[in-house]
Amino acid sequence: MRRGALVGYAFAIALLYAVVAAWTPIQGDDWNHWIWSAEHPQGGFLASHFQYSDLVGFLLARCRTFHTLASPVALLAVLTGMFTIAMRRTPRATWDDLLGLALCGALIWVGQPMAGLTRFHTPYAAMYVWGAAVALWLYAPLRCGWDVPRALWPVLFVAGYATGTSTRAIATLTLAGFLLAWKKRPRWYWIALAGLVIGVAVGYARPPWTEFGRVFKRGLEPNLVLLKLPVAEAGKIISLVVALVLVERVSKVRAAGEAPIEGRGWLYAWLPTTIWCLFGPRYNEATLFPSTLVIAIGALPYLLWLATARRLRIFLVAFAAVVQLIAWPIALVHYHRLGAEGAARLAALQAAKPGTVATVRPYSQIASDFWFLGEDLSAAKLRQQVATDVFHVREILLLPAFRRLEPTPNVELALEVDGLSPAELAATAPPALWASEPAAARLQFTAYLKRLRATGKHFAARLAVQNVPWTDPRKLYVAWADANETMLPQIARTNLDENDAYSIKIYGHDLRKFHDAFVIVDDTATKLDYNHGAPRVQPLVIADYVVVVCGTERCLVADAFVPRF
Amino acid sequence: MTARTERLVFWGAVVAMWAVFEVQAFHTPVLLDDWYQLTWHRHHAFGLASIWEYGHYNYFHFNPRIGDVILMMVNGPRAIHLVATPLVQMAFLPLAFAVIFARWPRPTLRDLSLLVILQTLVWLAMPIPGIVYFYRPFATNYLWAFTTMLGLFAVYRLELARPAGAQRWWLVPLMLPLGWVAGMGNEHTGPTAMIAMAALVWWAWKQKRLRAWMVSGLVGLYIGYPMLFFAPGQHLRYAGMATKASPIKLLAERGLSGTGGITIDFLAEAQLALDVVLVAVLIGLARGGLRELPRKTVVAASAFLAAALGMVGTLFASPTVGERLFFAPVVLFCAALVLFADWLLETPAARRFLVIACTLLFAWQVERMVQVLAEGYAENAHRLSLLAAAPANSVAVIPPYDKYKRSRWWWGDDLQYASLREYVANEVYDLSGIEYDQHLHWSEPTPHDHFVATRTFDPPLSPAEDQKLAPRYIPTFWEWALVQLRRSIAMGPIGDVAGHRLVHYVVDMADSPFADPKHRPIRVLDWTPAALTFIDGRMFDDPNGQPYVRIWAPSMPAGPTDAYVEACGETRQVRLQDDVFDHIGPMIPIDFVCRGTYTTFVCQPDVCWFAGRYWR
Repeated sequence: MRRGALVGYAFAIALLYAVVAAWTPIQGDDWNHWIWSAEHPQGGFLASHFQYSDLVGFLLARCRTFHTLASPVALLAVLTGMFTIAMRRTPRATWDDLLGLALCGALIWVGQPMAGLTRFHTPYAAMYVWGAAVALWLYAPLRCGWDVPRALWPVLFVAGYATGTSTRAIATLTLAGFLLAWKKRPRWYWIALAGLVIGVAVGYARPPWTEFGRVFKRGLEPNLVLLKLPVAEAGKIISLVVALVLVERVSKVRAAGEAPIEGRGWLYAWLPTTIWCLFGPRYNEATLFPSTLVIAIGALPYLLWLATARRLRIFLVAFAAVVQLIAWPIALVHYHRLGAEGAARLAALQAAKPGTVATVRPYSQIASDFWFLGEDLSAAKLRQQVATDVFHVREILLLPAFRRLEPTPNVELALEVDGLSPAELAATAPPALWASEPAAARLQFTAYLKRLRATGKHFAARLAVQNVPWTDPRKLYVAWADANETMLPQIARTNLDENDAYSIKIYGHDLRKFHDAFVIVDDTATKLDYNHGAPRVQPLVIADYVVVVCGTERCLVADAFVPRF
Repeated sequence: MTARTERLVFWGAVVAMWAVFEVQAFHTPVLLDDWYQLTWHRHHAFGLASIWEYGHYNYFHFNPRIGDVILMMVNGPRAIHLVATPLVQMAFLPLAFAVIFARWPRPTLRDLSLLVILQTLVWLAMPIPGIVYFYRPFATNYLWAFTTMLGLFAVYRLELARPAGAQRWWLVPLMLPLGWVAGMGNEHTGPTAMIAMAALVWWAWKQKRLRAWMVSGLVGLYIGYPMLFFAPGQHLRYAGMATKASPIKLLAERGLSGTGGITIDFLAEAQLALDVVLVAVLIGLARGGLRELPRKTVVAASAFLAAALGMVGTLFASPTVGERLFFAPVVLFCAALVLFADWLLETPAARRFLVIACTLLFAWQVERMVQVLAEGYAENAHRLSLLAAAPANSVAVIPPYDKYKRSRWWWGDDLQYASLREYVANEVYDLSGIEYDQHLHWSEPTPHDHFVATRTFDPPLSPAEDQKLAPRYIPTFWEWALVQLRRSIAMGPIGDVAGHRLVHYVVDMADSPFADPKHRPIRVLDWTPAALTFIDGRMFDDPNGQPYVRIWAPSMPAGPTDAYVEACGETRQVRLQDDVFDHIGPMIPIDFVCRGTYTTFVCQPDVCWFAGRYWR
């Protein structure tokens, strides 16, 4: 009966997750994997992606069956891993342990900001659910004092590497856990640690970089404001524990034995973990998943101790059940509807004829919330990449339009290549369509350059601008590469400042190669201050804005956009 | 530490705290609602007559709260603010202490710790502590008001906690006005306070300890609150927002998710204060040193929690819900926490944590409040000097504040509102306008049109006589055009023209870029003694962020034929849409083409009505 209940609970959770996973649409960073696949028809993902989170993200995004079958197992690994680390043993077929597992699930729902999105949005699941799963089970043998058979030592090494290359917060937290357990190291410790250290080194060595500059530049108070959210979320779990402890102390309800004392250690671990999450890269609610797990692991022994008192047990059973009975049906309803919308969009895009404009409906939920990412193709750059690279259509038109939709700029481009015969050029398979958004076009050009270089010939390639009115004698391009230089600068448009202006920031050494800047609006070019590689544009009307920076001989379209108000 | 040293430390801390509040009072800038008081003082000599006139007008036509009268006073001669505001801020702590512990604080380190913990937790749990404490309009309407309420309850709490004493008849005439002032404080604190007061008096009666002054205080409160709630001004304030929906209707409209949202907002803010106490409990538990929690503490804490939630519950039926309204429930919530803190102070480890953590947090918050206000005050003083130096009837050009954003400590740049810029320019400095020296994302653009008023008297006035009654300007925001009309009727000049009676007052829009194909007049409001007609349209974004001007259905003119949006030099005809979100009324969709003001119109066959603005 008890074994059946435990298995039944695990099966139910896995089934629910599998159903939601099957419905979850391809969104956000999933598209990057689709774009990579489109640009690399010959495959070879592993040869260029060395990180666990990348690999899992690719598998989940490209193979929904794998996501549907494997991600539920990852979630179960997280829940059982949490229990194992909290209680220093694996769950057994007892009612107490079933309650423990159910509480793990409930605490994540309650304590994790945007818990639905973190669990179900595929890129987040790849990074956080899968990352936490491997980290928890890497740490579990150390925590529980298990002796790992020699045959499994290679697995430990791989798990260490996978943990190190999952997310930086998970990697750093696990590494800290290993280092703190230095004194009681078992024989297999060094193997796992070696894998972990290598993984951490690889994880930190690759972009995007840890955001020290951004965090420190923000100043103390804005960082404290950011920390308010995790403090409030962790506070929910702490409040639950303390409220029940107070009930136990004040009323005649008495829990058996002494209160566990390990909670403090996890509380101490929670704060640095949470602060480290601020450094990202890409800090958002989902980034806080490891710190939620830490606080939940700290809370679990207290809750199970409190559950030895009958009335508190009834409360905790009800709490675990009610939370999950509320959360899962909402998730199912959301993803049934939004998944159907996503499937219809995907079908429309796949059915669109190459070179045409594909029209799809925006998601009925535009903004991101606890459950769902919202409309992911509102930014012109990603929309153009998906359109041209993945579905070979000129544009994806989202109709009806909505306020957050960034219209696509219309920069018509043509490829110019010198040094290759027409036959050789055709063999490099140049893109049939170039994105009309410069940043997306530069990414296409970057991928195409690899194919050009593979020919072994000396060549000069340029992405020339066709339709922007430009009277300056210097030629206008979006990117170029020749024997002297490759001009594919990293350029970013800042958020609007208080004057309704964007800065178009050019990063790296390339910013020194230009000295003039212009903005072209309605066929009129106006000179801007180059501002050390960060010209500033104040778009006050809806129109096509093309920002151009010029060196001595050539000019580059740094950015083109239609402002959103 | 000897008792004498403890006394010295205690009183030293009191003096330091007073000095902080005094510095803050000195650095209080003129912001937002303060400007309206300056106008009053510009036209009225400060004195009892002026206070009475202001209170009378407010009660019948505007904000009936007692706090608004106090605001007028602290915006009067500066000495009043410098003396009174720090005193009230200082009084808050001992009064709250008396209500929590049923005794006055003693000059000991332990009581000093409790006072520091209380002040720290209150500031921590409040979303905008710096604004509620040091922005005069919030301070008088919320801090002063609730301190008065605490003062009322402290008398009962102290009396009922000690052995039965004398009747103290002299308290009877004092408690009646104290209760009345407390009742006139705030709409959302009154109901809970009345229930609590009834419970206290009932308990005193059951214990045979009821005194005449207790009944007197109760009567004062029970008179004051209904006077506030049913004040005529409530129907006119915020363009009659309070009349648009009854509390029951508001409650029904908000539903479970809306009311749940308010509760979660409150708890999310209070969570920080709660966390400090929770960590202390965990530390106490881990050290195994927690004593048994006294039942008395649990009962008192539960009562404070219930009162806090009661006040939050009152907000469910309130037409406005804002961070400032959380002040009173936050104080009560923290009162419950301080009772637990008192229990935790018995455990050395928990005490160490609580005292150190709260002292550090207290010091940090004081430092932020003092520094931010000093910087804001300097910017404000510079702005005032620029405005004062600008030639009459010119457009003054000012820089924005560096601290233009609202934060926990500072209101932000108040002149971001075009209506306030217009008001300050015309009413305070006799200017024709105020503009920022740069385009600003967060500042509402000044509309291109302006409003003109036509007054009709019975019997008619000559044009020359009528011209004498013309105000300096007609505000280009209908809410303020309406306020100007009401004030002119109530306090002159148009309400009191010998031998003539105002029978019709019309405000029209002039110089509008709106290109009406039928060239109809554009009406903003139409007043007669029997009826007031205007369209109440406000900015609204739907859940997906789509912009609209949403019109309150009862204000829609009968039989509208067409609707328009004028912006960026263009006029576009649009179709009214149904409000499928809140069913408040028809919505005019806005389609952005530029940054600027979007002015909307709803037309009847012979007239177009100004229906509201949206700006971006």
